Amino acid sequence: MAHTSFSAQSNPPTLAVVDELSYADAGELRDALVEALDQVNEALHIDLSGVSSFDLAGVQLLYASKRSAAERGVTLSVGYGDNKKRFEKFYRFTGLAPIDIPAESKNNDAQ
Amino acid sequence: MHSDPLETFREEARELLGTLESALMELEQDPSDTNSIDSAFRSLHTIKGSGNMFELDQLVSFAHAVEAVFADVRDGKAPMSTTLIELGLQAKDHIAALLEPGGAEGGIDEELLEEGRRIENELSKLAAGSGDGGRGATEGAAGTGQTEASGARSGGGAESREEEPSDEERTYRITFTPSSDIFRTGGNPLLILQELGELGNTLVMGFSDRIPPLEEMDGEACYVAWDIVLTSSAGENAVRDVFIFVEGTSEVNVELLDEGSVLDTDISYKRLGEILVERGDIDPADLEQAMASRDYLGETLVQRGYVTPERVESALQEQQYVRRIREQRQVSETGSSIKVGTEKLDALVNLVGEFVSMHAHLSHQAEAKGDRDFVAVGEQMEALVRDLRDLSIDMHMVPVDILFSGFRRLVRDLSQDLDKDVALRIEGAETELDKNVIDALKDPLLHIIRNSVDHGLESAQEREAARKPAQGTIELSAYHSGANVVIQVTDDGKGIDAEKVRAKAVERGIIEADRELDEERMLELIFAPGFSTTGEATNVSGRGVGMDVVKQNIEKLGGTVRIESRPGEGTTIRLRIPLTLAIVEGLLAELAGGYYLINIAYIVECIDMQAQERDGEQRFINFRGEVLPYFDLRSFFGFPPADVERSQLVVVSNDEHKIGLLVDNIHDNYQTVIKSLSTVFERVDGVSGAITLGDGTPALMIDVDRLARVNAEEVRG
Repeated sequence: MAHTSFSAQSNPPTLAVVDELSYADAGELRDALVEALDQVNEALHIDLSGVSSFDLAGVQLLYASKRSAAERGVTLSVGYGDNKKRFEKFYRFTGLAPIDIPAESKNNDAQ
Repeated sequence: MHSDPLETFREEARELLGTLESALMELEQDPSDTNSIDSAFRSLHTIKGSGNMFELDQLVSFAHAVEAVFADVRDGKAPMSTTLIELGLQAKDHIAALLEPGGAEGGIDEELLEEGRRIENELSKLAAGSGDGGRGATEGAAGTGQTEASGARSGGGAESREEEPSDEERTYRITFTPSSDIFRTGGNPLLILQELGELGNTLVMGFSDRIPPLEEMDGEACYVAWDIVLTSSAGENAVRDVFIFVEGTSEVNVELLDEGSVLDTDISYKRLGEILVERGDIDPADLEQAMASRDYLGETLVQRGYVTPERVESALQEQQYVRRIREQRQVSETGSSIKVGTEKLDALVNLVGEFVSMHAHLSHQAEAKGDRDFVAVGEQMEALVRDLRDLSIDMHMVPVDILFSGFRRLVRDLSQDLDKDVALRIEGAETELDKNVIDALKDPLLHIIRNSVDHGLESAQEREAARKPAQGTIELSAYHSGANVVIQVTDDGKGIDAEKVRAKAVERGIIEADRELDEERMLELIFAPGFSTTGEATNVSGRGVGMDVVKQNIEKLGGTVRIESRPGEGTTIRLRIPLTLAIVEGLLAELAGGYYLINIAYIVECIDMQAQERDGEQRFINFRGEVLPYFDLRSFFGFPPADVERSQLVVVSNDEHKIGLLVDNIHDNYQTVIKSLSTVFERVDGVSGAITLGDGTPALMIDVDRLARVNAEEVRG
């Protein structure tokens, strides 16, 4: 079950996703992300350090958020905290361009 | 190559152990590095397989046990951990010990066997602790049944894949666009990627460009698409079978990119535009328009909005992947390299050297006799001899990486022993140097690095107090400089206080108390015999060997060693080593009836010198507007003054100092092999080697570097 909490006081304003970033809650998560973008003017940070499980449907939401933020002129950043390695593995396996992880970490050529 | 196959196996196994150690050191930095996990596994697997042929049962059984743990890590069944890396290093040392004659064969050394059992025991505890939970840790995904895929290659079992005949491998391009409903129908595209990975090597390129903004997005739809390049011995039908449950709903296209023997195919692969058109990423008309531009095609296509950057990037990746596959296949099919023992290479280089000397003599004789035909043949031969010389030297060259990579382990172990946090940075590891020089450099560098970690770098507390990063750094670098290679060891430690060095040298009776020295010369006192004593050495750097031995060893190679240090900032020790020991090209100079060779790498120019200039009190001349000090070599070597009207001044430079060397006469360029000096000449200052000319006449090699330094010291007073 996904939980989100938005903090407008943080700098930048931050939406924290807790527990799941996955298909089961994709609709709710999408709405929470749109709502968070509606409340910011310049920047939004998505904090994924509290995510315990995620899947492709959940990760698609991050790309969609990047796209929406760009259209609104909002700078969107994603922080993974201790989950960074897990997300890196995911990006490597799926061959998708990692979001906010430097390119040198990417190596999708499974030899 | 050794005629004894067992000895050949040992040599190869030692190389593989080096690869294993490098992989483990990489994993220490990045435990998720799948290439290093694969490399460690492959090294162990090959050692085991080859050891089996020689019935080295102890070694085979031990390597098998270690390999099994790494196979689990590679397959995602067990995690990589610092404990496993440590055990891997211990296992590497143990295999090295088993490899030694009597180690694995006799099985007599009970202590050695016990060590093996201990490591195996530790490894099995580690395997038991990890259970089977590591593989593809399930990541929620309620409703979709999706899993977070392991970054490591999963499933399939490498052993069965490795046993498949690689000559039947084909490379496919698979375009996979899942139905947007795939999640809703319980499908999981990632499982398909995983299944493809089990068929062989894959290059997976995911595309996010169809994902819309949040506002237009259906959170439960799938927007991601993939291009996968797969190299596998599986047939096309087997590849298509992977998609059997999504056929009809998803778009799947399987296309054969590469097959058959590369001997009848070109290494080069399709151009970027061709790949993009084939994949349907771009319209051919747009490509044609973009081709008219002189800019880079990929950039132009993206700038004009014909294609997204990730499509261009993936096409480039496909291009590189197929080229690499073809190159690898060509190497394996044509067998482009063979192993030759270094002793045979040494013999070849020596023979080439002798041949070079004979040719030089022949040319001299031809010119002396004025025989035009003979001279012409000599000139034609010269080009061949030069090529032969360059080739034989080139065959002897190896990258310094084989020397440098061994120091990673040294620094790691030392920093643990001394409880210091030390990073080793390596630069220029691809620089090539004569294999014999590299062998001879190992001990001096080992000593220098030990000293840097032990005495140069401070403890973490001292560093923090000095407002430095807690982690100390040692940089080991190599680069070419003329006919030399420079190897530098730099630390960012506490540096050396030159005055303290001076005081210690006075205390040890190395210099007089009232001797005036500048800072450079004070620091150089650490290379003086008797400066380091075993009395104050630690377990780490104290082996009864001082920096004087380091200097002697470097000078034996015809090299030099310099030191620079700033208190509080660190120390640099710079070794300048000739590229090769075997053959040098020099100018043959005559002096008091004897012959001397001056290495051509040092020579700037030769100028005539009249007796009136030569015989003055001053040992300086005006050389193109600069004051050039020179040595009268007759006087330096204790010969009487010349009674000829004209002499020759050879202007030489060792990159630091430029001087002139006054000789009686100069002959021709001369290529030769340097022989070790007999003990008679070892104490002659200014001479670094002996040679035999083609007609058997002996000659001495001038030690230009030494003379330049002596001169600099005299100038400094």
